[in-house]
This record gives sequence, structure tokens and C-alpha cells, in this order.
Amino acid sequence: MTEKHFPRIGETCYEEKLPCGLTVRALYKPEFDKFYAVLGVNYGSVDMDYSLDGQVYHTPAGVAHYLEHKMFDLPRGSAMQEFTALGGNPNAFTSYSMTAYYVQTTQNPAQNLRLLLEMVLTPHFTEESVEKERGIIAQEINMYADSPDSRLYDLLFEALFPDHPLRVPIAGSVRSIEDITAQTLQQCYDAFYRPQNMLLCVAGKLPPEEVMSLARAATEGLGGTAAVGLPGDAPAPESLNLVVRQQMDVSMPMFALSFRLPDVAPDDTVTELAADMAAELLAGEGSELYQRLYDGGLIDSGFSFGFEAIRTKAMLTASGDSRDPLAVRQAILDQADRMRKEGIDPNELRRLKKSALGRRIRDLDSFSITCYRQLGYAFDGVEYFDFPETFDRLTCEDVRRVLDDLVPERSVCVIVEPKKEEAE
Amino acid sequence: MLHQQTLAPGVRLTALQSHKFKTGILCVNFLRPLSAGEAAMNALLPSLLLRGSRRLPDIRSISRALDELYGAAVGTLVRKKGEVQAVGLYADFIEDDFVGEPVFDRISTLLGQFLLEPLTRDGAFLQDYYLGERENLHNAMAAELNDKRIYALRRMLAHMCPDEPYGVPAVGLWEHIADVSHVGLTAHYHTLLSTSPVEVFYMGQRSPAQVADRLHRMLENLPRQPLVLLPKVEARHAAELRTYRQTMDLSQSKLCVGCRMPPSGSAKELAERLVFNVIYGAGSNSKLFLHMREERSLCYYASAAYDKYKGLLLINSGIDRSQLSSAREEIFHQLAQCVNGAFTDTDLELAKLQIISQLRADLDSPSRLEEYYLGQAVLRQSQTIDELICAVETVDAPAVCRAAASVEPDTLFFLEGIN
Repeated sequence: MTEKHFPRIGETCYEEKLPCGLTVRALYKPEFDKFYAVLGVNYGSVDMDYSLDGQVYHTPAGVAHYLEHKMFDLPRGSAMQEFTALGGNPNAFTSYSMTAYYVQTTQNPAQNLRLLLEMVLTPHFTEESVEKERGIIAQEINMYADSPDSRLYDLLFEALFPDHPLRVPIAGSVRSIEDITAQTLQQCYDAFYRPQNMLLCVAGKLPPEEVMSLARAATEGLGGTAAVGLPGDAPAPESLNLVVRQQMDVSMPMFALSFRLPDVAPDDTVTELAADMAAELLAGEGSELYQRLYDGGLIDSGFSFGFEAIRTKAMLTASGDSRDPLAVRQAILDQADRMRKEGIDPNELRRLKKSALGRRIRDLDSFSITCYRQLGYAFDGVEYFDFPETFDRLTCEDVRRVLDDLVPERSVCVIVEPKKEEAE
Repeated sequence: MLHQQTLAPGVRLTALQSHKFKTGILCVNFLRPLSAGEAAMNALLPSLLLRGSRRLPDIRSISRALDELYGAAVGTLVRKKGEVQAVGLYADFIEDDFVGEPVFDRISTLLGQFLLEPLTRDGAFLQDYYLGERENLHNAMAAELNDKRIYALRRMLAHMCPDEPYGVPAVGLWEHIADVSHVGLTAHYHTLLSTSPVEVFYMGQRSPAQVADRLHRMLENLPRQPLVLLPKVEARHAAELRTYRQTMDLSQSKLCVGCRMPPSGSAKELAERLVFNVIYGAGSNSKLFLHMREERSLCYYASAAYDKYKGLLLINSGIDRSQLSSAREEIFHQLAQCVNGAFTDTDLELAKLQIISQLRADLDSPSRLEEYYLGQAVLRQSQTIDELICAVETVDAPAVCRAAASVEPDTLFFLEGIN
């Protein structure tokens, strides 16, 4: 177990790579009553096609999410009830790039952690239980279909990444999950749920030595090589410049304007900060543009503009409600043009770095945010807690480079708008 | 350590000194009787105050000032606690020790300026700021349509409590602000400042004495006049179950049931109802979850929530339209099971454990603590979370049955998806 100190952010992280290949990271916080543990699997909805031992496999959309639902079954019954008996509050989520299982508790932290590990490391799929879950998941998919936010982002990813499995919704469709059986789940479990492809992050009152020894015991005898997702090698579209519209029962138009950025290397942490700073300079609350759009009633306080990367795919997205999304789109494009000509004021960047660094440090108060960020970074082989040094390295030139990509050809604007008959 | 003191007539400080966090928080809440007449005006004021103060006259200058305070945040608070409306502002900010600068002093000064020194012209709020924020409020009111889960619950409450203050949403109703001018709102702002009980909450590394000293300065110009009386909630009984339906283009239908229960006077009563609520409908060991979702696959979610302020049990589920009668039958059948004591000692112990675990987690959360102490002020109760935990520990099975038996189903609302 290594002990890493990060004096600039006041954190100490204990880390160990176990013989089975599982990496464990622990933040020791004895002053808190609460305890948080998340076990992440580097397997998300985009890994529908994969290769293992030289062979290529194709699976239906939605398997990672279906698997997440069924991991709560243990041979002796539901892990959910056992967590409840231990005072733990468990849950899980599936994203495009990972599946994560977590528990929060103030009681029995060791037992809760042991159960979390046991649950994820014990596959138990029967035809009967898999069949029964289909109705629940179908209801969940229907719920997302009714949610304007979900629709907005599904449409965005579909338009932005036609060449990549990101175009497919995370949970799949009511149709695609029909093809999922207990055997499909077992096959994908065996392919991806390998300790070497997982990461355990904990924060709270459980001493790190105990965390490590629990994890070591739970994973004894495990190992093996995980499959590798095959996102395909279709070329990215040469030009996007799309506006996609969808009518739904919403009160006013909602929009997401996204710029697809060039692919990023997994260990590239500078681009993330550079893109966030570019977004702040362009349309953050301290910008001239934000003030103008807000005063003009084109955006409200729900407006946001920020970077997101999923594996190597990167995007910068502005979203919010607006009575005229196309006017917002044009204003952002025009402002990017202007900034490319005028360049970046170092004093402005200094101010934004000060602010963003302060907010990142404050985010460390949240066990869940801190654990997820570590997961996301660690799967890419990056130390999350080095972020102050990344801020130090960030230059005006890094930020200016991002502006080059904020052009119509890289953009998709999705608008979910009220139905016509109700708009009048 | 919890410290409470009166800073000025009707102004109470709750301060919790803690060294566990990198972030400190400071919240100022003005309490008003929830009423249709002024709820929308109250809800509008916090956003309007954050448009500009005399010293920081626009969003841009405010944002830049916060950037220089290491990304401190200020935001609006608009909440409904039973039949009391609480509106105000909060700030969260990096602790001084982390950066070696007096961030708390500066942010509390800023917060005081937002509250007491708004940007005005001829003694009134700026008309364009007013109209812009009123439009945003209008949009926020309309946006309840966007989340169908919340929409269905709100529709149910509107049917259930049409002539009770509780039926007024936290953001108020448009028709009561549509004709108000910026001058009219300014007059109301002065009334709100001078006649509202004020609850201030601080959690962070400063000692209560340091915080009180700072706040005395921050609020020294707060006008004080005779205070409005905050109402006790009006508890009603349900007649027979009323049913309402509405159709919408949706894939998943929503079924909500609103029930009346007595409001909770003591920690003991609250504890009993919380335990009942968990056994019946909150969490993964609840009857609604186990029977409606896990056993019969009727839904993706089905849960109940107990509103301790008004004494309401709100049941909420997302189902397929074809399942209406099965789901409805299951909701009432499981309630009857609770009345009849059809739960095990283990169910009881698990429910208590779940509540206690959550309450202990609340003790580690500044925002949950703020919410708790604001609620105590509204309820005029003084028990601490630790005392509530003790009360939960002593709840027995007959008490759960009694709590279940006090549930009176009032209104059923079905938002039927036709697609």
C-alpha cells in the first residue's frame, strides 16, 4: 500500500494494486460518520462490440445496463435487502463508459464494503429473474423517453457521433433488450468484470489497512484478462453543422449546442481544463456574452457551458432553456470568431483559474463526486489529485487552441420544443 | 457544537462550528406565511436581488467578484415548509485557512449587500431587471410540465388542497404577480425585510462568537418592525377518495395518491410515522418496492413520502397504463397490511436502521443540517437530530400500526399516457 500526499488540496490517498489486478484507492476520514464506497467497472454502453482472446463478439444495445440491474441478485437472495439490514444505502448506474456500484452508510462500513465486493464479484443470472427484470427496465426506458432532458441528450449523441456507439442510448431500446438473455449477461460479465478492469474507491471512517485487506480477501483467486471494447473505425463526419428539432410536451424550447472536439488521448488532462476555461471566457457568467444574452432574455440561470470526454471522444456543450435557441447558437459562434481574432487576456485566465481551482478543491467535500472523478481518471491512467499542477501548466495558448474548434462544421444543435398546437 | 442565539428581534442564528469541511456555508432565510397573494412576489425577490447590488450592479461584476473569492457561490433559496414559505440567499465558500485570506468576511459582506443594498432607481428596483426575472419565474412555473413525475404530484396536490395554503406552490402563482409593477414589488420587499422572522444558518470553521460578530455587522441595517405571525398548519380529515384523470402523450403513466395524516407534534410521533413510511413505501425493503416492482413488475418506481410539516403521505409511481387497477389495488392492499401489522420484527428493525443511518449521514451534511434547523424553526420545535434518533430507536410494532391506521386516502390522480 502506498501513501500519497497532496498538500495543495489537503488530501492523502492510500493506494494498492492487488495481486488479482484490482486497484484500490482509499481516503481516510475518521472525523466523518459516513462512509462511501464505489466499485467501478470499465465497461459501459459503448462496449457492445468487443474482442476477447482474438475473437470478436457483438451484443445487443443495453447489456451493460441490464447487467447492472441483475448484479443485485445473489444466489441466496437480493443484495438490496442485505444492504438494508446493514444500514447501507446501495445503488448503481451505467454510463457510456462505465458501470458503477456504490453504497453509502454510517453503520457497519466493513460489512457494507464486503457485501458490495461480493455482490459485484458473484454473478447469478437465471432465465426467470432475467425475464422478470425486462418489464422493469422497459418501464425505465419508457420513463426516459418521456423525459425531455434524456431525449435531448440522446438526440445530441446520435447526431454528434454517427460513427461511434455513443449514438445508441445507454439503456438500449425496448426492442433491443428483448434479445438479452441470462446467457448474454453471463458472457458479458465474464468478458468485462475482471479485477484488472475494475477500480475500488472508498472515502470515510474505515482505516485503509482494513479496506485493503477486505478487498484482498474478496478477490482472492480471481484474475484473468478483460475484453476490449471495439468502438469501430468509421471515420468521423467531415462536417456536422446540424440543427435537430423534436417536439414534446415542454413549456419552452430546451437546447443543447455541442461542438465535437478532436479526439483526446486518455492521459490528456490539459485539454479538459483548457476547454472549460475557453467555455468560461466565451460564455461564462463573468463574460460579456452571458450578460448580453441574459439581459436580452435569451438565456436564464440554468444556462451552462462545459467540457465532457467519454473515452477518447470529446465535446464542449452549451445547454439551457431559451425562447430562441438559434439566436444563442449564432451569438456563441460569433463570439468564438471574435475571440479567435482578439486572443486570450492572461489576466482573465488567471481569474478563471483561481475560481475553478477553488471550486474543485471545495468539491472534495463530496465523497461521491471525489470517488467518481478518481474512477474516471484512473481508468485513463491519470492521478486525479494532481489537478492543481495541471492548472499551473495551463497556458493561454492551450485555451486559444480550443477556440479553433468552435466552428459551425463541428457543431450540432438539438432543440426540444413545445408541440405546435400548444405553442399558440 | 450547536449554537443558537438571537441577533436582533426575530433574527435567529444557528451556528455549527466544524473543521471537517473545505467549504463553509451561510444561509439567510426570511419566513412568510404561505399565501397565494404574496408567494410569487416572495419567490421572485431572491433572483432579483442577485441581479445587482449598488456596488456590484450586474451579473458580470458579481461573477467576477466571486471568481476572486476562489469561486465562492451565491444562490437563491425558495422553499415551502408546510404552510410557511422560506425565501432567501445562501453562500458557500472556501475556508479561510485554505487560502490564507478572509474569504468569510468578504462573502458575508457581499451577501449583506445583496440583501440590503439592491440596485435601485428612484427608490425602486430597476424595471428591466424586474421584468426579466419575472419572465424567468413565469418560465420556471411553466417548466413543472417538463418533469412528469413532479408534474403529476403537483397536479394531485392542486386537486387535493385547492382551498388550503398548502395547495400554493413554493414559487407561487402567476396570476398574483402578473399585475404587480417593479414599484409594487419594491414596497413588498421592504415589508418582507422588516416583518419576517429571519433564520440564519452558518456551518464552518469560525467560532459562533466570530460568526455572530460578523453577522451583527452584516445585518445591522436590517429594519425591524412587528413580525408576521407564522401559521400553525391546518390539519384536515379526508372525506371519501376523490379520483382525477388526465391524459397526455406519454410512454409511462403516473399514478399518485395523496393521503392525510395528523401533523407530528413530538419527536415520538414523528419517529413513529417515519418508521411506518419506510416500512410501507420508502426504500428497497418497503412493501411498495417489494410488491409493486420486485414481485409484480408493475412499475419502475413506487414510493411514499411523509411530509412532516403538513402531515401528508404522498404516494408516487410510474406504471404502464394497463396496470392502473392492479397498481391501485396493490397500493391500498399494502397500506391495509401495515394497519393489520403484517410486517415482521426484522422489517421494523430494518426500517429503524435505515432512518437512523440517514439521520447520521445528515449530521455530516451542511445542507441537510440547514434544512433540518430551518424546519425546526417552522415547526417551533427544538429537538436535535440525536434526540430524533433516540425516538426512532424506541418505536414498536403497535405504534407503526397506529400510524398506518391514521392514514386517510384523500385524492388519487392518474396521468394517463396515450402514445
